[in-house]
Amino acid sequence: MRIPVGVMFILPGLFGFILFFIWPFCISLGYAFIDKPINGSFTGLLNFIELFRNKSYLRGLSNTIRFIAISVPLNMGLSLGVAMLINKMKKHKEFFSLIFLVPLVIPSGSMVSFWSSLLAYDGALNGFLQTVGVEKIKWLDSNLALFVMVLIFIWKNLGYNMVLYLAGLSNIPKDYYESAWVDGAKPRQSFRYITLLHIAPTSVLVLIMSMINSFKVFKEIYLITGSYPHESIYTLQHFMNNMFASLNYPQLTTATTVLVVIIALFAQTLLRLERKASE
Amino acid sequence: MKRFLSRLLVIFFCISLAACNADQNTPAANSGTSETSGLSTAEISGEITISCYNTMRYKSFLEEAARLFEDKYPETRVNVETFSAMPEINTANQDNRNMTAIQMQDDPQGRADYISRVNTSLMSGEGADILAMDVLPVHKYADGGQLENLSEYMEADSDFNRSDYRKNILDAIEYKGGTWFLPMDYTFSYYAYDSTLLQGDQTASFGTGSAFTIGQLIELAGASFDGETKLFNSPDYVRGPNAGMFGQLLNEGYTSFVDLESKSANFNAGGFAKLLETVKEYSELGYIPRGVTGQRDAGAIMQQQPTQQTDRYFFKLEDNFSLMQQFNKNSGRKMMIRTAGDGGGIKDDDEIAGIQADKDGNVPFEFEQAYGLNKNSKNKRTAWAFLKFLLSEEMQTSTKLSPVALPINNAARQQKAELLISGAFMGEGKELDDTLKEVLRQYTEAVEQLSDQINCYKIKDTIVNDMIAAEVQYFFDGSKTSDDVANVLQNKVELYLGE
Repeated sequence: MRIPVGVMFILPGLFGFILFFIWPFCISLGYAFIDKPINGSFTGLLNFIELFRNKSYLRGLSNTIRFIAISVPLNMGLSLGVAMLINKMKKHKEFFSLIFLVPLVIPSGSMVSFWSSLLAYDGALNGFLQTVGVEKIKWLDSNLALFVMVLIFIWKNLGYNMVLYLAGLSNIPKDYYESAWVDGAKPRQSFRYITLLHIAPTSVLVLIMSMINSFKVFKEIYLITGSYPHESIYTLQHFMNNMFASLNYPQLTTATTVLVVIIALFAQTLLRLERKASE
Repeated sequence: MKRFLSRLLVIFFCISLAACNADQNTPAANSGTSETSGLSTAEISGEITISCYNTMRYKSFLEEAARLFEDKYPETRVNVETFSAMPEINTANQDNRNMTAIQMQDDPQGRADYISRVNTSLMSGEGADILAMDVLPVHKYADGGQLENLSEYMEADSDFNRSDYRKNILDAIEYKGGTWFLPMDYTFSYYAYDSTLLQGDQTASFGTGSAFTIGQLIELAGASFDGETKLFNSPDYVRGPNAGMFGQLLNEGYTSFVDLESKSANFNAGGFAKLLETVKEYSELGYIPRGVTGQRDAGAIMQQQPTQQTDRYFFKLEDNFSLMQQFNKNSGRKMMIRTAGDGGGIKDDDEIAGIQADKDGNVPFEFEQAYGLNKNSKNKRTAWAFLKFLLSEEMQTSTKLSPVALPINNAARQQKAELLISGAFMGEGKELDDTLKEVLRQYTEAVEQLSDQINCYKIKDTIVNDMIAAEVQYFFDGSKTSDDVANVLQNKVELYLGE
């Protein structure tokens, strides 16, 4: 069989990817079918059935879905809005792009220190509220914790999506907008029939990247609130991290397998829809 | 290309599944039955490693044990690994008395790092042969099959005689039908009462055969309480892992709030909030002193000594080592030991009220040293032989062990009592005269009678305890109500246990 030259070039990278990602995943997959990490016996799909009966897992799953449902559309909408504003600017475009990109490069430790001191019960924000006569609010210890998590996610990732949208917007020919204006189209109509249509491929990419990044916000939340935060921000990653810490490898790998399958199906569906829409 | 990649992935998948099966067939992964056959005649050789977190508590004792074991069995080598830093030692001279305070900082991050390290080594099929159970979650390891069931070793080894050790301690540590760790020693707490404040009918039920809860003692002392003299010397709240009066009441009702075996939490049924309010009420009624610095600070404790020693209290919660002081006071030798959170007080007129019990009438114990045997160990016979050696009279009377804890080896317990009373344990020994012999007799009689009542070991989880300690401080500093704290704990502990 004649191997194409392109394949030869990607083989080293592919080999590394398989060795450090696919191979460990396949090895760990074995744990999903046994009952104990040491001297375990084969249990078939029992771990998967038990997983969906586990209250903590279901809590983590529902919180994760709720978080993604709120934060991803909000992040996409805000980043598109900011991208459109910056795109229209004639001066200092790069400066404003940089401002929104700064949170992305701030180390997590510094970020955590900032958010902790701001949002702690005895933190700066509650201190300010007390001076204006408002009672202290439990930002991280009540149902408001979910919105704090959404805020941190948007603050960190808005710049990233904004850059992707800026690239997409810059590819839309200006003639389309001029023609539309000449034909009497309102700004809302231009946005709907020109902008949204032409940034659809970019939007699919932004959606996938936003979903991936929504899982990464766990790092900051974990550093601020620990392994067992308020129940409204206990996510799948908390569950999996805690399973690792307590040596429950069967349950950990079962949960990660389910997550991989869900994300793979979602990404496949999205890409297929995008391809059909382009056609 | 797609087909090529798919085939490659399928091959990797099959190989990985085969690899998982292969692990289960290696000799080290087999069950313990072959390991326990012929234990008493087995050749003791090879290298073993013993791992523990608390350096101060374990290191010098284990190094001495390792040296003596290697002398006894020249074909062996014992490696000792400890993790935590040695604590800070402060000395001071007050009123011509030398005082030494050892400041042990609670280090939750250090503990978590150690547990994580042990977990990773266990999961990779390695880890030390013997694991000290000072901070490790023994019940989790037992549930996950990471520890050997030592009951099998004790039964199979004809050289091991259960009657040489405290039977009720060995029975109390059984968990889900097995013995997953062996304590080298045990400690218990008892209540002492001031005989100048309580007399007659009030003290009729007191003695070494009795067990009490805090509520029962308050009821007994009720009529004598004048609002001036405090009922207990434990402050309401001391920051740290559940100390002070709060810690005592929590321990009494622990299983009603957290049941680790059935994995259930019950903080928001009203009982926990009531406990917090009760502690606050005791403080407001003058039953107990208020917490002082909120820190387990040896320097601050040393400064508090003069005022604490002049106070009288109806009851004091003491540990078993205070029995030494109790029976020594008539011999002219004073022993003064204060621990962080101890409210102190005049002890000259103290007598024994009874051992500390929980709400269900169970009498728990704690240990200072306990060990489990790693299922991954490649030299279980030698590891078991070393555990037996640690339980021997020779090691159980070692001066490197804490003087506070009582050996579970019956003969060693008697010997150690003699060493402590004669002063030989501290290096200033003298021969036992008639007075000291009487002290020894009274002391050992009291220890055995109180110890006979022990019937349970409360499985505790450091993660749950850290959660409780982290939340409860908000109640005592006024930031949250008792219901808020109870609800937060219910959610967090439920999440944890539900996993």
